[in-house]
Amino acid sequence: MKDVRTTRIDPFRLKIERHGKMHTHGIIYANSDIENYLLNDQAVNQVANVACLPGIVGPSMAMPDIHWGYGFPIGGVAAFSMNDGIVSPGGVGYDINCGIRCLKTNLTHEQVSPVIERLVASLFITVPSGVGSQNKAIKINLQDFNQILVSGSSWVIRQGMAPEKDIECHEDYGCIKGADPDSVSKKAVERGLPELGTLGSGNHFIEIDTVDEIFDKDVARAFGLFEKQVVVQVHTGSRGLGHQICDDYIHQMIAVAAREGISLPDRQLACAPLFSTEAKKYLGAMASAANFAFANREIITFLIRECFENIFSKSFEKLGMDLLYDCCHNIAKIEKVKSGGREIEVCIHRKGATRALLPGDRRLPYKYINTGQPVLVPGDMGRESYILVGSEKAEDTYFSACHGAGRLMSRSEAKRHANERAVVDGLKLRGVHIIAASRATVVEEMPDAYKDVSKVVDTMTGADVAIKIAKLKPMGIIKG
Amino acid sequence: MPYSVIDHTADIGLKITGTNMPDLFLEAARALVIEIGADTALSEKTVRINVDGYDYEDLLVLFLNALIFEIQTRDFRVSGFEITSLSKTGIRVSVRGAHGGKPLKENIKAATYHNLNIIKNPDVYETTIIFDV
Repeated sequence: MKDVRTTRIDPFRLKIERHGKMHTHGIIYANSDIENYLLNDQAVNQVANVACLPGIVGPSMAMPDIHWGYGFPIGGVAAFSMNDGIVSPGGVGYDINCGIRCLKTNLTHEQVSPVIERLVASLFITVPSGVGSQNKAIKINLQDFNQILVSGSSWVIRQGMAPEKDIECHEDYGCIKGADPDSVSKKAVERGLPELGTLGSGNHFIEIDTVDEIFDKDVARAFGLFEKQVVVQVHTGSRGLGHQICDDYIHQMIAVAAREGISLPDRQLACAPLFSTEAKKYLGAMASAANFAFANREIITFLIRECFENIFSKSFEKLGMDLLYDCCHNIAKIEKVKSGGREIEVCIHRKGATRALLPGDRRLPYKYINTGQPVLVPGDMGRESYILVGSEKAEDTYFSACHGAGRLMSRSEAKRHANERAVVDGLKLRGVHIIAASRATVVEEMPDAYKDVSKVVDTMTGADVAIKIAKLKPMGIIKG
Repeated sequence: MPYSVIDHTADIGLKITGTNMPDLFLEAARALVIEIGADTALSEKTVRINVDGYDYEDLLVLFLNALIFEIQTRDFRVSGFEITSLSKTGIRVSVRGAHGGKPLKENIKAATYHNLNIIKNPDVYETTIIFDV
């Protein structure tokens, strides 16, 4: 759909009225600052396009880090009925279970600051990163690989690479059920197998942060967070495995949509009815890639713990390197939501959005049952990141919140604005030490290429979808 | 210039032109190779890409994604292309080049179908492809 208009319904939300082939209206979480950003690209049209897909339940939504994607907008959230709804591989994206985790330490800024350059160098050498990076230290056969696809992070724990208690600090305990390795093509396996335990490139990173501010002392204490504490964020996904699975199934689903008489406003939204064989196969393959991504982040965590142990000459247990949480950004999941006064089962697509479960939710591990799930919101390389929890109105977003700052500038525009030296020097002035595999990535990922994450988070908190728990400031960054 | 980079907030967009349909496919492939940094002067091996699709747009995406697979997964670097056949439902291409070589400049996950439309003007074919990076 083209030239779609929005109207403001309150200070934190815009509405797209249902029109044309839309089955429902659209809701975009945006304060006036975010609304200005929306003028730059086609993301609003994409929210309307998603509303044209069959069986959508409630509105087609977008979180405030919304920006132009390729089918679904980035930041998109949409639920589809299990009876007459669909699943769309493009609605999950190529990087299935691209996600983020936060690893705590008991170290302070004062302790880490003198060794930050050594630490960043050690992490850069130890964790394979960059375009086409492979981890040659991990030798696995096809049987192991299939085990990873089925069991996710628990496979890594079984190898003795992580403590058992890590598992409860993952969304869905680090394993999406229903994984079916037989639904994964040989090409996808060939593409994914050598990339296990690698960071990749683009917007993927490892970031050493300091807890700069605590907003809610009780929840922060329950999370094990304190001011000046050093934590580590890891952002990566399912690497080439997910890319190939998405590619394989989009092509299949173009034919399925035609067979089922589904009119597609954009071919990238190709989809299949949830009851179809093709949808079931895709969900089995998607879960496999999601589990690979959990395992990938868990192996990278093993390498990070080793680096800290070497630099500080203490075990990671003594350094307090416990996992705070690991959550998915790109995923489709079968969940129960309230619709029309009753609870129904739907397939929720989160394309660049984070699940945000509230206190008391039975899907939470015991340790977070009274607080709700930590919602990790990374910012850009130079500014802050946030840790949130869901709040009362999270039910309106099917318990979803923003997943980051959201891009503002295209990569070519970023290159017109700055060069690598200027970006590195600018970060240094902010007290951030960076090592990247590629100069181009540093420029493409410069802070000004992103929205101000504080404005994004302010929209979520203003709309009462989430509340702030802590703010993080970057100290050191590894980029692919 | 048979291609230009267009601004896309998150990804890379390439506007491609060609004098006819096979030329458009070749220019799209060359543009991808240049942008990703997968060119080589060596012509030691030939990789054959054979794909069948629903129409020209589908074929273009399938062909480019098969090329991305050869470059990124099998470390193939490209010196030239020859289309041996192209119809509305199938394309056969010989890709010359060599395995190994310089590291890639850019990781491209896939060519997407987003707003993809091949337009035939009186004397030029054109299209814009969005690549997920």
